[in-house]
Amino acid sequence: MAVLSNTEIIRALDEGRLVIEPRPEPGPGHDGTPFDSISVDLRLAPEIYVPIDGMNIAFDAGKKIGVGKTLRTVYKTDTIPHGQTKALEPCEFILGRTMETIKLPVVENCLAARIEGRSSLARQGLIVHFTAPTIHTDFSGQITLEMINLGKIPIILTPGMGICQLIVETVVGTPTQARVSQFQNQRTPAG
Amino acid sequence: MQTLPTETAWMKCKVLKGMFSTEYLVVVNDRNDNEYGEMFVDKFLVKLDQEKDLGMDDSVPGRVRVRTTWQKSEGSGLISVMLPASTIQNGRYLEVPENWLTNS
Repeated sequence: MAVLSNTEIIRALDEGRLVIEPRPEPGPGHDGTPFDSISVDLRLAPEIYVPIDGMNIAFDAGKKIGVGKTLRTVYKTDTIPHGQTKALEPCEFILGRTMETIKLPVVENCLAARIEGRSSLARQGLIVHFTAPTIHTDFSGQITLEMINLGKIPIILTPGMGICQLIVETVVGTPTQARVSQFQNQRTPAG
Repeated sequence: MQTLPTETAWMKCKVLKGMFSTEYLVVVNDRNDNEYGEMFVDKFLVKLDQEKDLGMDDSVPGRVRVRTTWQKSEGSGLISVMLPASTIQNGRYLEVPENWLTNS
């Protein structure tokens, strides 16, 4: 696997092996250019999710029953209005999303990607993802960000600001679904 | 393992209100029609069988975009699918009856 340079990211966008909508262009939110040498910046969407205080429930990480349905009830939706900002307080955790929709189609010479934070924001104490930064081939959608301020002072978030970077990687082979029944009852790697 | 090209298909599912405004919470079942897992999926990957403004307690039948080779497992009549995301409870792959899938 190899990381794509900025020129190869642009080539992948041109060829449709990577789709970013809207396509990154220099402008508001992108200081000069959205492209670094091996990455492209993505911007913060206005819609955020804030944990609700005082919830008297717990997630059973072992059983995972109904986790999805419960997640919807322990957060409240909020939107940072256009032209306004949100102060992320020390130790405050929210969910955010990228403005851009990312698509990694299953095609020949397909790609994968990962999300990383931006070093300038990291120095201020902002983490934009805890785990699972991988964007798999066949992914389609906006990227959800788990954001927390580990610094000692608030961090001002503005919709449209560059919030993370997308690093794009080549994939060896073309992913397909596992043929589950082929490995059913298998005891050894030989079968 | 033989590598076969995958194609897009649409698989029956249950659709609930998501968290972000651009997503749904999708519930898919296993081959025995028991709940297999939940996943948050962007709305353009889901079709609702009935148009409805979903409230927190609502669910409607729908279809979620999957990938498949349309190859049936020998003797089982089941087809392997790859979901658009990994479910919270289980993984991303499962085998389902062919009649759960449509081309559109």
